[in-house]
Amino acid sequence: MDFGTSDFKFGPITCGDAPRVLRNRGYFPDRDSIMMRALNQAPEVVVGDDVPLYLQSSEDLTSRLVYPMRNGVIDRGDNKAWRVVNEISRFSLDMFRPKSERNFEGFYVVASLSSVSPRYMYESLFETMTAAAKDGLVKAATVISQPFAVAIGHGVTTCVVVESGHGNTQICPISSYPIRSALVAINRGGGEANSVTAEILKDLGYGDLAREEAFVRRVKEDLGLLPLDLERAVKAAKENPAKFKARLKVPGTRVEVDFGNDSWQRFLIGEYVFNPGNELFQSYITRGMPRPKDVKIGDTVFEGMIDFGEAIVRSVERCPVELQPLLYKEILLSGGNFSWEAPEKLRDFATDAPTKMKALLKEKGIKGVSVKMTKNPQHSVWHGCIIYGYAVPEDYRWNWERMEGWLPVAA
Amino acid sequence: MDPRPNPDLLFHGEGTSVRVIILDESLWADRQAFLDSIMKASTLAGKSNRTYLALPKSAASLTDARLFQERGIGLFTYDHRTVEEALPARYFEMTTAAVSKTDRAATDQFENEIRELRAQIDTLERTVQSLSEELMSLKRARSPEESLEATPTARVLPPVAVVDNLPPYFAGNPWVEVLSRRGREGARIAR
Repeated sequence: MDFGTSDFKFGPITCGDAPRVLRNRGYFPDRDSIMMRALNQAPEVVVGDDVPLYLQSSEDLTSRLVYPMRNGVIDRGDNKAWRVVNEISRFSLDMFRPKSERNFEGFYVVASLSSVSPRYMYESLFETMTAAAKDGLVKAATVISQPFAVAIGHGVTTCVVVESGHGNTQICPISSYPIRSALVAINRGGGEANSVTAEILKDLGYGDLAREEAFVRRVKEDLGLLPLDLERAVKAAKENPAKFKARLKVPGTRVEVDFGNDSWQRFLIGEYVFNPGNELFQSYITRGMPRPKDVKIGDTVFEGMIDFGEAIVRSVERCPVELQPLLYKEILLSGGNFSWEAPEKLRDFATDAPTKMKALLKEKGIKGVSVKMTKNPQHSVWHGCIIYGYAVPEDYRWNWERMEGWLPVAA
Repeated sequence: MDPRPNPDLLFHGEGTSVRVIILDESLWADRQAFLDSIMKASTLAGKSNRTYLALPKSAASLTDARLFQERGIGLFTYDHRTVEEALPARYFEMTTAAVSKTDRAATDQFENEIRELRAQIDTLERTVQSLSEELMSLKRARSPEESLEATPTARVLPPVAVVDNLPPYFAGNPWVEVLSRRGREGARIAR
């Protein structure tokens, strides 16, 4: 089970190369609605493909539609979020329960969480599995971190995994085991790119559109660029705005966004994710755009403003010296926040995430690195979970110090 | 399949949609049909910008309009002469979460096809890599300057498939062996 910020990916090894995917969310219907009263049936929480059938007005969405893993961590007291996790876990196990196998004793479940998940999240997930075991669904369970699962799925035993999602970024060196003491967490992810995109849209007079998160995300994905060198890219774009023209029209509507002579601002969107310390962003922050702050969640401090290159160096330098060159030789980027592409005609100025990362590391004096995207970014965590579940001996018991092993939950 | 034609109406214009669920005059005394219409209106409220339930005037007098008002459902009443708006419908902004089944099915199909293509590409890449390694081994073996004994053998990856038909991402993955040794060695605890 891969509990992603947007999607929940699950399934046994028999699924083949691709897991089943559900939106990682749950909807709490209005139990006083006329339909629920008439039918006298009101599920407390709905998950899976049935969610859209229960959605009502958009005013209800913020309170009733819950995305539990939006920031990778669930608050201990967030009962609704935990209820969704329980329900979606049960839903997935029920889907694959063998219908006619008498000797079925329950699944060996491998769940994957953010590497910054505090201990109580592991405990809660084990409680969920224990409850499912009472119905014969689970025999044993374990939890591994998402960067560890990525390394397993990618097939590299010594590497640094940089996992970047909507809310945060985790940098985790792996050497047959996750090196937890070297973990660096950054309070910055795809959401920050959305924030700077929204500020740009407001500045350009598209304030109404800037309020719609889905549209802002679309502008980010369609118009945002990652510069190899921000100052150089901005200078070129200001001198020749036609070449860097940023224009988006939504088919079937009259909605259109055109950056015009300000198309140079496309480069701010990508740069802000990798390096928000550039002084070009100061004016947005002065005018009220939230600045990524240092926050503590559970036991982990998430730094807000550190650039990705500095963060990788800091993480690697917490590892034994003889291991460090090996780690720099295998840096894996994982997560939707690294899906940056450079249009053909702008390749002199725009780049992709691995190239940008190498450039940031070179600025820090680290050369000869190898940075790659994971082979299958959508499924690598799930692949890692399947391999882990298949290979680890069942008598390797869970241990809270090493945070690995099987916890038997069946009665 | 219900042989009766569906009398419901859906209007589109100027970016707004209005749906009207009609309770047939001949059926208003049928409790089941009456409930069906109400539940249908309730389910569909929010799927269009405005949703109305059209009731015969004789049924409307027996209906508590507050129920519909709370749900944002409007009411039309009709007889053989006129149609009147008895209760205005609330305006709902359309949410992107309401995805038609047709769109979803098409998207699922595309995603499945992309997954299959990716799996095929992965398999091809591994096959090419394996053939390349074999070719290099053969070239070294035929070289007159090198003795066969001195030629280092290619590192043999541990057998992965004990069971047939393991997914392609298992092939050549060193983690299978590493993880299978968990608890069998004096494994260090990573700190």
